[in-house]
Amino acid sequence: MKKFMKSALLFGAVMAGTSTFAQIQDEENVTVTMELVPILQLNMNTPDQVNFVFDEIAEYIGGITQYGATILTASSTVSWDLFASGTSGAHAAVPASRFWDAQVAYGAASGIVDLPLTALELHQFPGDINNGLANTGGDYAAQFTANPNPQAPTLGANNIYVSAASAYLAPPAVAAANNRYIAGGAAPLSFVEGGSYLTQTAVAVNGALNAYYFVIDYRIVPGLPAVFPFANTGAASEDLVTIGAAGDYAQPGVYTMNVKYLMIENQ
Amino acid sequence: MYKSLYIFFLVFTAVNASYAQPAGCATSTSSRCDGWPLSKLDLDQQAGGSMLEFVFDEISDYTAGKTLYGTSILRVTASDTAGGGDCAWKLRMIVNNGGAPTPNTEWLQTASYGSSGAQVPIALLEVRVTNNCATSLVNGTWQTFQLAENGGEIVIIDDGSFVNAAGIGGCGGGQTNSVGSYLTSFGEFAFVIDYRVRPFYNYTPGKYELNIKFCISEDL
Repeated sequence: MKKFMKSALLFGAVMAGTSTFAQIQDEENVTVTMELVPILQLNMNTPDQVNFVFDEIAEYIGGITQYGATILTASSTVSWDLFASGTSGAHAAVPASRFWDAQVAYGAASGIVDLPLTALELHQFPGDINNGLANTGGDYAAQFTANPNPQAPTLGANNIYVSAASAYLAPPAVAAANNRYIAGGAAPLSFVEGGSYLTQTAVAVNGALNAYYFVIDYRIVPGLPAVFPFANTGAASEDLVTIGAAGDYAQPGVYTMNVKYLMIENQ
Repeated sequence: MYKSLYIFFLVFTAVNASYAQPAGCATSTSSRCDGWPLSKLDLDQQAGGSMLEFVFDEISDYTAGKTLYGTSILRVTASDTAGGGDCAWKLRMIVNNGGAPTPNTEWLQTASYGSSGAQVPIALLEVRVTNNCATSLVNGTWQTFQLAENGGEIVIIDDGSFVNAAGIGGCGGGQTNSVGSYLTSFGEFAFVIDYRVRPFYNYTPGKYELNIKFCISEDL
């Protein structure tokens, strides 16, 4: 009888438990994964060679300006900074050699062949693109200044950044003086938000929070005599007389240098 | 006798435990419908199985977003062998990010490719539910989870009363939640799920993960 009672209770327990939860209760699962690959795209649709030919006295004195010679378009999925880095074969090999590469010398070897990389000046539009931070002066937004008469070394505000570090890729440490950024800056709070020129609906103005389309002008003023009076590090002149001796001037010939536009993730 | 009662208690508890409801899906206490496998929810997945992958490696992908159409198809079978005519069910989606330490409103980050940008919010995932008879209140409309946080739901069917199926090939109107099957009424008992993510910019690059539970349970 006891065994029968136990069996009955056991059966009852199973049935009671089962019937209590005889109901619709089911579940299916889906796992959604998303991979966001960081993308930094910088495009230059303009010619990759910009030639300055000085064959008129007026061009030596007033220089040559090439407006809109380079147009940069940017797209990025992360916050970024943009800077231009002036370099050459000589500079890449030895950072202290901040000079153009002399390709051909014209006439007697009577001049200086070590022309300063900072002789190249840039002007950008729009300027002061720094996520709304106040302009620290660390870009190329300033207008080109006129060559004074009489000619004198001039600390302009447009000289291209030339890295003093071992690698020309080294970004400017501080966005000021001759350590200029085109957009963003050295500090983590100085940046351009991710975005694209493709979805930009209006031309960004100076001081806009973000911009993805930049027009770059170039200028070189050899001066007369050709000492490149505007060449400077931001703190010190690099014209041929200042870094050389009175009476120095540029050796006529063909020179080349390289401007690298580098877009990096803000950090 | 006490020993027998003790055994009864143990067995009762064990049987109940074996029917423990999945976490996040348990809301029903009634038992008017048949249990599994007579009543069940089937999920058909396209290639990739139960893993849906959104890979953004082009600017145009970020700008336009990506949509996976019809990647999941839910098929409902509801049975009531007792024939009481009182079986009703509800169907929900529940999002799960794994919980702490992941913040409540964000995707679980499984790898980071950078430092800039914000963490991805759960609200970035959009879902669209459709079926031929438009039985869901959210039918055909892109939805985010309400609330857009861990445990947030999208209610597909939850009428609170009996809405009978029209039968083979028909549409009865309303949120059909009665006895029936996708085999005889695909338009009322099957649901096609689309997924969409439009990240645009400014989220931290990396790999992220979410779990979505589809839960069917009794409605009344």
